[in-house]
Amino acid sequence: MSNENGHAKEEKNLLRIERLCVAFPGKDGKKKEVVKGVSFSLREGEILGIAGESGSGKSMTALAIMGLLPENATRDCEGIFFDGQTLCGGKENNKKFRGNRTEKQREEKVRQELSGSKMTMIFQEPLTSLNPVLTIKKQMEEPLLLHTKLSSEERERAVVSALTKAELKNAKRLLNQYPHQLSGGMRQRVMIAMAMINKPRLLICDEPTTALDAVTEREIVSLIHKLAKEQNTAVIFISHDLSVLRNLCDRVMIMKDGKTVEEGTAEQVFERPEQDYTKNLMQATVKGAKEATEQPVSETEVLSATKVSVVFRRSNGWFRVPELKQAVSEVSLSVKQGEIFGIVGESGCGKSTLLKALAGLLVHYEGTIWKKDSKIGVQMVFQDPYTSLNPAKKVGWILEEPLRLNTGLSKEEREQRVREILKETELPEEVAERHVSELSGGQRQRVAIAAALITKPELVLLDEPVSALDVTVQAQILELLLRLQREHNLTYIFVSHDMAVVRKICDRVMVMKDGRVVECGETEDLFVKPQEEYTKKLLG
Amino acid sequence: MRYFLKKTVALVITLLVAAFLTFLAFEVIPSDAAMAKLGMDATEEEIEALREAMGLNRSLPVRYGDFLLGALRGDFGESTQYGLPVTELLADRFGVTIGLALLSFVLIVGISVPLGIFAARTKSKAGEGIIAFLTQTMMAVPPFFLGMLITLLFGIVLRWFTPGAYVPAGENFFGFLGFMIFPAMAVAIPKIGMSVRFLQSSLKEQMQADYVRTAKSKGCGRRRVLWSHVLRNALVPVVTFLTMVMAEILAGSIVIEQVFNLSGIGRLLAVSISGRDYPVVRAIVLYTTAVVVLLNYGADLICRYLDPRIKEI
Repeated sequence: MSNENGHAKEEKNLLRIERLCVAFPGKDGKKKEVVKGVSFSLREGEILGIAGESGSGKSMTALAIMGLLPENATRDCEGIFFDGQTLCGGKENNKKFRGNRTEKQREEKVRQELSGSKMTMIFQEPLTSLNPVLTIKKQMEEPLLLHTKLSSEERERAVVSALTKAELKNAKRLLNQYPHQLSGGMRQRVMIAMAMINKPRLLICDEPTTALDAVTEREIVSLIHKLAKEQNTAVIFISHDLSVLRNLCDRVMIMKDGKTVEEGTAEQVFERPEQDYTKNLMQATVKGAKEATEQPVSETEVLSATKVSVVFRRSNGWFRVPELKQAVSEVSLSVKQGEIFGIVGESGCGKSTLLKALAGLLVHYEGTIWKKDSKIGVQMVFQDPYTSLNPAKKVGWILEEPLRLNTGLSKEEREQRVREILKETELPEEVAERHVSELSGGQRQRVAIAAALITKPELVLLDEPVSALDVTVQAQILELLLRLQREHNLTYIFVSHDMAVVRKICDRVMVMKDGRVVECGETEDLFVKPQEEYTKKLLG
Repeated sequence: MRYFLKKTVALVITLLVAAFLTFLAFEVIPSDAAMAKLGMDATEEEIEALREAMGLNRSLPVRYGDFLLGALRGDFGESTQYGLPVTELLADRFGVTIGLALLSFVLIVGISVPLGIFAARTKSKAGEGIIAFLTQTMMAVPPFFLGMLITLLFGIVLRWFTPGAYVPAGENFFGFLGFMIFPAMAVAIPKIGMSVRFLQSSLKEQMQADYVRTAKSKGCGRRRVLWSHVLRNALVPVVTFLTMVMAEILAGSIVIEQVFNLSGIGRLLAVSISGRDYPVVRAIVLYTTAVVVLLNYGADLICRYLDPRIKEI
């Protein structure tokens, strides 16, 4: 649909990309191509979704359009044309000017002219994407300062109106605040307001909701949709989450290993996918209910908590009464042997704090936490396998560490145990000799799980164990967790903000909001007929 | 504003504690001011009489109060070695040390900021190599040797200044500058090496930050990205570093003062310690502590201005 009749439609095309390649210098001096000849075009006001696993080159494609590639990357293309201007290459002058300084300068000049006015971009992590030391007003008015001749009062009015359009209350008060004083959702709204302030023709969104929780994610997506339709802005929306794209996009493009796998209208791609990869990707998206397990959950309690409260004190100086923040208030729960117990809620609802209290990593709680046996093995798996494993040590050492501390095993026995656990978590044995940095995200999370299971615990506490992973990897890790649970009759407490994941894996679910329990029950009951308003909102 | 008040209260408390510890330290030293003044031949009665006259027999808190009031009025007693009021003795040396410190500070900031920015921005291997070599050399040369080299080159070969002929600022300001610039160079050069490296790595780190990408996506050019986004973020660690450097220089550099024959705080301290001139030593210790505390206070305020995320106490 793109290439054959692409030229006929050229007038209508806002953006046209021809055979874009992006490469990085590789280890052995050879170039490593991450985008391999991607072509597509975009009409005015159209919303295009680009999906793919991490490493598929989708972000690099977006950055190449904006001219924001990292400095060591090289961009090569037959042309990127935007709104009648040549951003890069162009068949005839590509050869003439390749490596030519003046051509580079021209590209840079065009880029500076267009970015922030006609094409803008928002990014994944809104906290780091905003300058921490400048006020919201200063950052918001910069596109106006660079691209318009508005006076200072006019700029301030424009900023306030843009913030209001992004559905931020009290826009005036925000002006003199700094990014760290806002919540994640608010920061992303500020980013959107800033991107839309000059009424751009094209907005590129690079995983804008990945760092946000489910409720905020939906709000942000519908905000982008609303603003784009209002101002007839074309959008390129990049995401690894197909369910987000399904409702938002007119057209969808699936990428894998730097190439386009499939492209078509949203309906085509989602209802009648042609390529196997697309089908896989869609199947990998976690959905549906948990499959019935053979062994019924026993009635023995493994852990129970009665009226557990956690209060954080925030000291405000020497002579002031410390501010108290009730992170968890009077939560009671009981978990039975062989059960997977889910805790869900938005970020900041106290679910991770509760989990830490249950794990014994937090001592200043009120209420009682009872465990079947004081010597019961409790282990924890954390969200981010990139930062929660020691980068200076080899995987074997990391896995052996709990054994060195808790048991009297000899070195040979420990190594034997490491080999066993690697096999169980489906990792090759050589992994023991590698550093964590050499592993992929999925492999790292397997290592984290292996490290938790190596001491043969009965109860494993999982804090968002798949949130940082790609959909396909996510499915694999969940499968692994379920298999291990069945084989060893483990008990899991599974914390997540992802409702689909929770539905797939948990027997019972507890919904939390502002530190309190909203609702608790059998997973399917809760998903099919939620009792509380808040649960319905979470389920969307 | 609240941050400012809190920091100011904390500053006053710190200064009082520092003064007390300084006072206490000299109480603990096994030495008697009266005996030191009269010498070994004095009789018991003579010493006792002098002790009484000097107020050494009063209780500790009373004497601390006295010391504190004196210090606030600028009265630190009399030097046992010179027989002059300590304040008078110090006043001359302050001029030298503060002049040297200010001039070196101007040199450090004036040279290392542009050089650090260049070092961070340059993409050529040659540029990076030159900066690395230059800063390494600057840091490696010992200050006394640097002082001697400067004296030899500018004083004896080029005759741009007369070695050892210090001109007080009050007499001839340009003469003072013309002389002081050379010791200031000797003080500044190693510090420039360090702060260029510091600024370079800080800037480079910030240039990788996500907000830089956002700034570019708004249409900022390289220059605007640097000046209105990166620099302010990169300055916080550099300000802290420069504060430490400034404190070190203000505390007096014995070596540089010796090489250039300057009578500054450093040399006075050395002489007073060997001469057991405790009132002078005590005053200098108190001065040094106060300088460090005040500089940190200033640095805290500057950093807080630069980076609003810095927590309140």
